[in-house]
Amino acid sequence: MSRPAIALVTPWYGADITGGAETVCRGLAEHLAHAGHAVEVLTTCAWRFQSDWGKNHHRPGLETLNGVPVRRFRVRPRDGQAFHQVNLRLMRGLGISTADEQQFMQHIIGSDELVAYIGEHRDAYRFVFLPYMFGTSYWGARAAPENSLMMPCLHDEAYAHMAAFRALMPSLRGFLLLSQPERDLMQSLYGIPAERLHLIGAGVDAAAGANPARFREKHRLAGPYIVYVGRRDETKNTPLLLDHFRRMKLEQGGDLKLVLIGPGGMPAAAARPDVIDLGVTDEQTKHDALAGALCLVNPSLNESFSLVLMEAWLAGRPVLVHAGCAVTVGHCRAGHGGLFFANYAEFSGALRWLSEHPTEAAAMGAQGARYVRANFTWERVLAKMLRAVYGEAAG
Amino acid sequence: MSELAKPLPDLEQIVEIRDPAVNVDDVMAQIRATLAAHGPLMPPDVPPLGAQSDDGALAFHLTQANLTYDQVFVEMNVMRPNVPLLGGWLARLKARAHELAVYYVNQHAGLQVNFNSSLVRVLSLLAARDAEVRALRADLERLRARLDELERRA
Repeated sequence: MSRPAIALVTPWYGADITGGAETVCRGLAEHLAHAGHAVEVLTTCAWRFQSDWGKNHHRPGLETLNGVPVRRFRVRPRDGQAFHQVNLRLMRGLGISTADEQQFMQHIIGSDELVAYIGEHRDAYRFVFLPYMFGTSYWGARAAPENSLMMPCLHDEAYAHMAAFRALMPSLRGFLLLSQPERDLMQSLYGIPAERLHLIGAGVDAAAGANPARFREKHRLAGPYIVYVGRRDETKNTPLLLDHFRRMKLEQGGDLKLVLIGPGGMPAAAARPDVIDLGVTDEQTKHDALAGALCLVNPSLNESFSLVLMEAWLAGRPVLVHAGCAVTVGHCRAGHGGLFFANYAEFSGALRWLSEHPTEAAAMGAQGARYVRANFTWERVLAKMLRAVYGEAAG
Repeated sequence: MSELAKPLPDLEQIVEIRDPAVNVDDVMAQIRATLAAHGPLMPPDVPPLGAQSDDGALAFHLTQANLTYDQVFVEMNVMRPNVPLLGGWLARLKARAHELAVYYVNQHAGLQVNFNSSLVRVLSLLAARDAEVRALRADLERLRARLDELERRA
């Protein structure tokens, strides 16, 4: 008897979408398909995280993207204002009622057609939902819990403490996790037994032919620079990075620049000649930028894996992360690939150390690259995933 | 769920770099020692957003205070006057005047940051102490109840 196909269920999917969970999902789908495994993506017709979640951007139905069958379903109409009211309270760390939770789940992105499809085809697939907090995952996993695995991309945030997820998680078949701190959090938050928690990590594509000189020439950058890659908003702690950088330049001067890559706006106060905002770039530009940087800075406290750390290491450069993030600090300590700051003084002290110790900085980058190659090759990640999804026989 | 997968310890084990040429913990210790010996004012550590506290509003506002206590410095922001011929000269004059103003404002801002830093540090300590007091109060209640029970039995 053939085993059921893997269905990766995610709120949006496409080659033009950035973001950690989105990149992990696309990588899994494409590598599974190219390795000959039966895999499909079930998603909505919404475009991406930054677009209107109530608007159908894509046509519903089946299409093939880079060898992966993608089945799209129309989104459910939603009241964005009602969602925003509750979401704002959650983001501010304020308590919400049961009625608020219902309002949140009703008006976050979701698709009734997708949920109905999952219910009707519950035995045809092993469903893998990611990330956990969207309606596609919440309502979808409820439709077939016995065949559902969650790849939550979890960190300790207000959403994770909602009663809705506390009720849902223990009913699921298993969990695919990206890091040991995420695994610890799953156990402490939801009391999931260890045998259902599978630490698989995420596969990282090696950067082919990164060329820092090409980046410097294109953007007329002669001096040293640090780089931030990712979405720019409070949940990623970007304002803290901009503030620390501004303060350091005010106090110390110098020709260090900050290069920002990724979607999202920037406060007007952050607009300075030494802050270079490139917005969303192609992958090659990102790899070129990483290869030429003094280091990558990731100030986020909310990470479940941090793909960009791995990319910086594969580009041969060290990283600087926030000391309050167990996941990124854990990677830095395990791979000896980067430093961590708990406050402004440590931020400027670490950058000074890296600029004054170029040989050691390069060695840290090389150590990080060894760590990535030892743990996060696609071959290794897929083997772990298939074992978690199908059990012993899958191999 | 009869065919439930069990975690495979050897495969799921994260491989660590055991023989680093540069040990990041040693480097951090070196940086911290340098800062302690010669560094500038050490601001209070920034607690993680959503810090473990049963008072969400307190944790939120304390985090905000920690993040913004030093955001009082100002920078030059001079627009070129839209005046023909004299525009360049007026812009230079305006820039000089702004430089002077910014110099004195930031001198004052530095003093304000010192005060804010102390204030935020005190608030952080009080919040930590408040959590301790609440834990002790809970212990006290538990011990009182136990004592009452023992007295009843006696």
